[in-house]
Amino acid sequence: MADKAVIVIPEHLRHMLEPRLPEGVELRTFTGMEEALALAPEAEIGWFEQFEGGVMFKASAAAENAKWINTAGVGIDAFRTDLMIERGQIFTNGVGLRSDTIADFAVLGVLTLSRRFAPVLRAHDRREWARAEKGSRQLAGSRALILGYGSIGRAIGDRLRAFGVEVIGVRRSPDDGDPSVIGAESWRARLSEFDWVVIAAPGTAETKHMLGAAEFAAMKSGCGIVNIARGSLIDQAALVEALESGHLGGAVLDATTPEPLPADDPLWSAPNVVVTGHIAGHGQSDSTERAVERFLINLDHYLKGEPLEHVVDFSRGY
Amino acid sequence: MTRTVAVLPGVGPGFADAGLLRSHIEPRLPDWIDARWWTSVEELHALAPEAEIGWFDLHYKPPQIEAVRLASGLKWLNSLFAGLDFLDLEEMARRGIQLTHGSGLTAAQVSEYVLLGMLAFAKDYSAVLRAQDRHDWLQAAPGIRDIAGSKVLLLGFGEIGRLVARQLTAMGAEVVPVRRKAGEGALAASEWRARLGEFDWVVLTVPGTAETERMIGAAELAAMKRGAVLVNFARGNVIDQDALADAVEQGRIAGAVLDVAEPEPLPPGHRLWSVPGILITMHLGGRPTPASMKRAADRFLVNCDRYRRGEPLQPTFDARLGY
Repeated sequence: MADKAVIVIPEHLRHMLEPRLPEGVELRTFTGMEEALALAPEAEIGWFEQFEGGVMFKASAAAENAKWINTAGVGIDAFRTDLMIERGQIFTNGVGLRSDTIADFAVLGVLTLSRRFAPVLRAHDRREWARAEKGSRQLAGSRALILGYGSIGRAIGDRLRAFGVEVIGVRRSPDDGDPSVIGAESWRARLSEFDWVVIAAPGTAETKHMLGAAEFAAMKSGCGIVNIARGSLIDQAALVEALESGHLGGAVLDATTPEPLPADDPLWSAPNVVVTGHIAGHGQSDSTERAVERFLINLDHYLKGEPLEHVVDFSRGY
Repeated sequence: MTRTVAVLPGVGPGFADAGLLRSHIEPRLPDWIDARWWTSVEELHALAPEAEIGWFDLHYKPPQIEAVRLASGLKWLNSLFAGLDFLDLEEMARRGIQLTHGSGLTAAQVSEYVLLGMLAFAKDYSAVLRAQDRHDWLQAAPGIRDIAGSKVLLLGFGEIGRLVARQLTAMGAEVVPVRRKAGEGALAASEWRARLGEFDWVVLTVPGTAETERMIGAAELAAMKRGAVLVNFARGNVIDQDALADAVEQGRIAGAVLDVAEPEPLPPGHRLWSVPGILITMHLGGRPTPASMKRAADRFLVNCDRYRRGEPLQPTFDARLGY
């Protein structure tokens, strides 16, 4: 049956996908890295996740005969996109699938910093009726800068605006006419205006260490940082220094360098830091179901020879 | 000119930033007011008998109640707090004391705390923070509840409730408020009990009145959806706490976020502390912030002018409505 397109996917997706597959395709599933690496070269179409089981993105590199590679995640920085370009492969990702869940997590981070909430949770564990923490302030009337204003960044911005926060988003190429979205060349000069800097930009060569000692120094004293994107965007040593000096007010970091963060890393115990361990995207909502829906729509396009949706732009890295 | 004595909070034990209040008020105080600033409970009680205008707010209420008793010449009592049901309101009415309260001053920050409490519950932030404090990278998310797509019943649709509704709606929740009359997506006061089973969250921001006391008891908890969460930013006595602890322990509802409790402070041995699934936030939602202090000072100064001209003060506390 050489004419059937072979689809290689993780075994746990089989029950959702198999009953709904069209004619003309054949499903092969893997459990674990060994099987994934063995099956990958057979794939015309492969679905691999970046972090599942550790480093599943490695299997995509082994999918040398694939024409289309899919992932349900948003961040693609660990994938070997250089090989995909070389092989002329199409790469689709899960942009937008988890925006609500991640945005909620980011808002929780901002609220945690604004109301000094971590000591309150600790007081609860001690069964102690805490007094108000010094430095607690309201969110309404404050200003937030969101670095990366794609699907997730916008979801965060919309939420913060409902709290009465003035939001400025940063895009690589800003939309004309919207003064609340600025370009990559203009945000540094305005850093001192913001009470919160939220990072929602992709991890690319261009965004690596976009926040370092100079940027932290330019921020308003007491500014809070929330990172739900990638650890690589922050110069972590500079962040620890800016927190320890008392210049920055605190940070909630779902992403770090490296991951997992070693237990003896100084970031864990820097003042007013909460490291949340890359869980921002985990929701109860059926993001896997939606990823399957999206895959099936794209499969239909693929079999008809039509362009796919949510294709990664290799030149941008997202 | 005989000046009117006002006994006002200076830097003191009432709340962390009481000094801000004084710095906002003092430079703008009219000449006819002779301000005496208290900075301790002892000073408050010593100065209270001189007060025609009083501002006696303390987080711990008994000494505040005592100050009102001692202030025999009091004609106007001002407060930062929205709910003044802890005062002997009948006695104050008999003494002819006008009462202005802090309604709306802290609505924004309380609404933020409601969302903070809900999100912290949804993501089990207590467990996240414990992992952080152990320097432990979590293998799985301890809480995965989403706000988007959930249904929220909002009991209490004053200023706080409206802000909560706006924020929840922006997060993709479906919000159904309870109002005196049904319509425009709202349920009437007579309707919500029958519909309790539809909601993932039940959020209380009602005022503390005879009508709202124990409005959530064993029957209401039993009618809630399994997996629902009760969120109380109203008054501790709005909930039957024992029935709540039972319901959470037995898994009939998922849990609760309690900014208020009975009594406050909740003693360390109290049962509520140790029920897994109950998050207590220690009445911090409405604690004054720099922004609310500024608003309180502005409102007080406007009322001073009204008081001088013999005009009605605003907002005055209605004991019957509870706000």
